[in-house]
Amino acid sequence: MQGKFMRSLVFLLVIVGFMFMTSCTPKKIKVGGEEQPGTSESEIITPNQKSSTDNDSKDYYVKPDTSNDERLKAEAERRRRKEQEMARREGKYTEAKEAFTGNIIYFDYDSAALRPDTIALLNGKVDFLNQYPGEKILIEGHCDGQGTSEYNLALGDRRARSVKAFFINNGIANARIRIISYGEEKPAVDGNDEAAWSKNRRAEFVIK
Amino acid sequence: MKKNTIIITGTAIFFFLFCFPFFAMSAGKNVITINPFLRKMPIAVPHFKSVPDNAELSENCAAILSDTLEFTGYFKILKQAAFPDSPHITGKIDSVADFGQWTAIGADYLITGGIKTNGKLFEMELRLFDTVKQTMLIGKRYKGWTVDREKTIRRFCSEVIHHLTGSWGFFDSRIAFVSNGTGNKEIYTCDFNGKSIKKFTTHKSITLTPSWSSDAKWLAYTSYAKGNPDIYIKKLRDKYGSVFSRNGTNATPAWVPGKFMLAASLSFSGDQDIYLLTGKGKLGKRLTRKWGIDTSPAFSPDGTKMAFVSSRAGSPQIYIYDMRSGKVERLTFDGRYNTQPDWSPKGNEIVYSALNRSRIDICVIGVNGRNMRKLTRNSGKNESPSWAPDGSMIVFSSNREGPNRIYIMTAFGTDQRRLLVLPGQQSSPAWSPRLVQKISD
Repeated sequence: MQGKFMRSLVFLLVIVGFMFMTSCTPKKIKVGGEEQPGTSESEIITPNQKSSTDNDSKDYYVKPDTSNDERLKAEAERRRRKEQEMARREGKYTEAKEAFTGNIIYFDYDSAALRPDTIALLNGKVDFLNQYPGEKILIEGHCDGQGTSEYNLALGDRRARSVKAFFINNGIANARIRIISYGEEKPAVDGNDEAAWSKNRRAEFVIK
Repeated sequence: MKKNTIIITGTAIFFFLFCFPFFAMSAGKNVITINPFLRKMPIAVPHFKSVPDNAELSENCAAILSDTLEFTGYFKILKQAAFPDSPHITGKIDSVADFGQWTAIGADYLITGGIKTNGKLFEMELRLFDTVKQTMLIGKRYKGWTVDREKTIRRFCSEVIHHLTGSWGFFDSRIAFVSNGTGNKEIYTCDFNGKSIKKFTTHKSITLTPSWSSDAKWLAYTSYAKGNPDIYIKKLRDKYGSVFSRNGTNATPAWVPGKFMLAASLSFSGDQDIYLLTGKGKLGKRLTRKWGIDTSPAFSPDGTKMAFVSSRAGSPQIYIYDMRSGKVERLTFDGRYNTQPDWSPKGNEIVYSALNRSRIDICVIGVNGRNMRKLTRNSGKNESPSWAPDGSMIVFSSNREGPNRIYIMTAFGTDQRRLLVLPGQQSSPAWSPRLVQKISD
């Protein structure tokens, strides 16, 4: 008697399950613009199955399917996380690189001394160089147009060397750092006032 | 190449053999020591007598002669319209009928000229008269090819300057400078008067600070042509030479007088110091050792001393280095930014640029640190002064009219004017030594 009931239940379940599957097929969704049959199938079946498990006894038959789905789900999740992590690292690197080259170090008039307000930025640059030990860099020393070109060529050299010394004192290898002075030959801002001059007395950074 | 040399030598021999004084020069040179540019010497240069008669040539020769003399700042050229007579009318060039007629129009001096043209050859006679003393001071006859006519007139002008001032002038010199007209800073050269401009470098990069060797056959300069500021040493004739490159900044080459050797500011040691280099670009002795910037060397004419710029006292000032003892003395104390020294050809003065409240002025100071005089005033930024080979004039760059351009003035700061017009901006002028060495000295 019980065996007969079980058989009819199984039969019913198979029918029901079959109906669900057919009804589900058109619901396949696209993930990331690309059809991923394995992933989408398990994701779609799971909520439907949950809703159809009013009867506890169904579990026994459905279980193998569910565990397979969970495995796929976990794998997808791992893959997603890995991709996210890579993107995060990539993004972080781009961001760090942009900060390294974008943050310009400014100087006072006729001075190659590092200003106290630039130390935080310089420490950030040291962190970058420590985090990406493969990077080699070029430090460019620049001057404002107030002085004379020969002296400014020398002053730009000293500005670049001040920054280089800071990096070396913070443990960065000498071989990773090159310097060049452009004197007053490459102003960042045109103009003959302090607003322009203060933007031109600077060290810029290039990742080679 | 060889053929070319022969032709040039031939020209030179032909040109100089037939140039001789045909009257004994009256002795006594009025050597001028105080500012000679305040009272200019009034001089009359009437149109030349030409055979065969050619009014245009007569006028043209007189114009070249007048312009050349006027350029120096020593002369006031009188107007043709006032002249009592003219050799191209009277046909007389070897004597003056009535000196009184010339002194009456204010002329202290008179130059008469005659030119005979025969195909590609010419013969020229030129005379300088003192109308007050009523004597002839110089009489010269030249023969040459017509292409050398202007050069010949300039040679006579050198004689005139030599007779009246005691120095040979600069009419056979050129000026090197930097121009960015092509979009890149390149080096150009031109005649003393800004004419016959030639582009010397094509590095398509940043090229700076040309410097002439004392025989005027070589130029040294700094260029970023290979990415780094390096020193280029090149022969003017064929542009062959060498490059000096070390880590860091290699800049401000300056030739040691009479030697195939330069001094330059190099930073490969970590500090910017002045070193000697051979003309072939080999590193020589280190001259300065103080921590800080040492740059812009400039030698005394005898090569025993070198002026340079140093920040050793906190701000850029000019110092003098003794080549024998290695001793260093500070020259400038006035102001907080004195750079770009150039040693006068007579050896007694140094010209430099002084920055003060965003203005830069050209100043001259005795090598003993006395008698400082400012030559430019209220005229923007005036930079890179360089002496004419006779020390009578100074070329410099200025932004007084907006863009940076090349200007000249007398050594006393008078007669300031723009030297040339070129697209873009010009800077860093360097006046060459005399290209032709003294013949009648």
